[in-house]
Amino acid sequence: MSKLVVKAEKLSKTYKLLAEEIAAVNEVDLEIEPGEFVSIMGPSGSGKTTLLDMIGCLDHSTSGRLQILGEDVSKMKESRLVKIRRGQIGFVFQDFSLIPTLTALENVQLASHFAGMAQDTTKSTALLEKVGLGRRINHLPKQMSGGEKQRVAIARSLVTSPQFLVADEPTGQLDTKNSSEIIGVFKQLNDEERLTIIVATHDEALGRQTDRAVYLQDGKVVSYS
Amino acid sequence: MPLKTAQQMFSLPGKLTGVGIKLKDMTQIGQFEEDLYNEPGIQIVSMAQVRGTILNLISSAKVMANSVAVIAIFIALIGVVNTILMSVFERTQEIGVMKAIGASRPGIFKLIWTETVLICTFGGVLGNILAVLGSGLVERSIKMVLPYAPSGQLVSIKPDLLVGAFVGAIVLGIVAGIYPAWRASSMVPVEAIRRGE
Repeated sequence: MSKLVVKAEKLSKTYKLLAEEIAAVNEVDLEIEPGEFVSIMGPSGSGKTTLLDMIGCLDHSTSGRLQILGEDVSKMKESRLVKIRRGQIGFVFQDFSLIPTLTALENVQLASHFAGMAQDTTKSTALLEKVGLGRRINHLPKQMSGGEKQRVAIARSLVTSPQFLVADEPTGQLDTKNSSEIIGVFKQLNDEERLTIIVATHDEALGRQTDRAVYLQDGKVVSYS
Repeated sequence: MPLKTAQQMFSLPGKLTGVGIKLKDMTQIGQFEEDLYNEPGIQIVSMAQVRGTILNLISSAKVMANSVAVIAIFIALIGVVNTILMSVFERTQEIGVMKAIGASRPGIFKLIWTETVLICTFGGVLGNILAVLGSGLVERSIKMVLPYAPSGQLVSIKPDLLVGAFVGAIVLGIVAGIYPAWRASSMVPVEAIRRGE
């Protein structure tokens, strides 16, 4: 049996605000199998992004245990986390987070550069073609629509051939048409390549397309579906 | 000799105030000065004194110019640090995203540091070009202002000065880039991404 992509046991993250302690994520238990398409849903402030940041090795938990692809990352140093992020995880952000001075192709290649991979123009171009941007590879982000920018971000997240994708509100800044196109890209990646995808969203349309949804409220899991 | 008599002797009434005297035997200059010091109503200024005064003025000017240069370098250093730091803060989210997609701490440090050194190198080249072009303008301005300016070249920029300024600009970039690069590389990715939103 292959390793779980994510295994969280009583995972918590608390923040101190003056004298008060606020639990953004409160004793969450979660297991995600390889090839699953999972959505983390809940209202604003429910802890979706914080949980996703921990799963993406961008942030440490305060307590509990988190295993990513069988490795305990709960107390791992930043230098080790960087290696996991660059090799195993692809990121898609709500606001696309592209480098404005780089073209679509260069944005995609940047991730492979950080991963220490050879600058493979063919692979980056093929990924941009795969997300429907074959004709826009030399365009700057300012020359693209929101949906196109998000496709570039998806291509960037895939260039290092990650084990799983984490996407934080990937349709949050898109209109209905672009949202459904982006959902389609995720669905295609999951169906055709069995790529594990974890999305934090309040977009019900996106939630319905996933294999299962984890509902959070006040940092706690209130239901699984 | 009364002043008016001297002015009449040289046919320069109302204009003559000083007379230059050149000795055939320069070894006698000391004795000649001593003799004239005793004459009432005459002020003696030897070329040795004039040269001493000019050299003093030049050395004072050099100290002043060097002090201004040191202050300018210090201000430039602060300016570069401040500019790059502002650019780092403006690009907080960008740096956070780069770290998220795999940029290491040394990688971000190298990026910002290299950027600073390149900016300063470009500044050094531009500064040298402006200095060479501007020196002619400064020379013309001095000659316009000074009534008895020497006919030779007053402002001269030697190649070693240009090389020194260029190397200095690079060194300034190396030093100035350290702190902003360290600040950028120390950013926690998740905080940097959220701070930029």
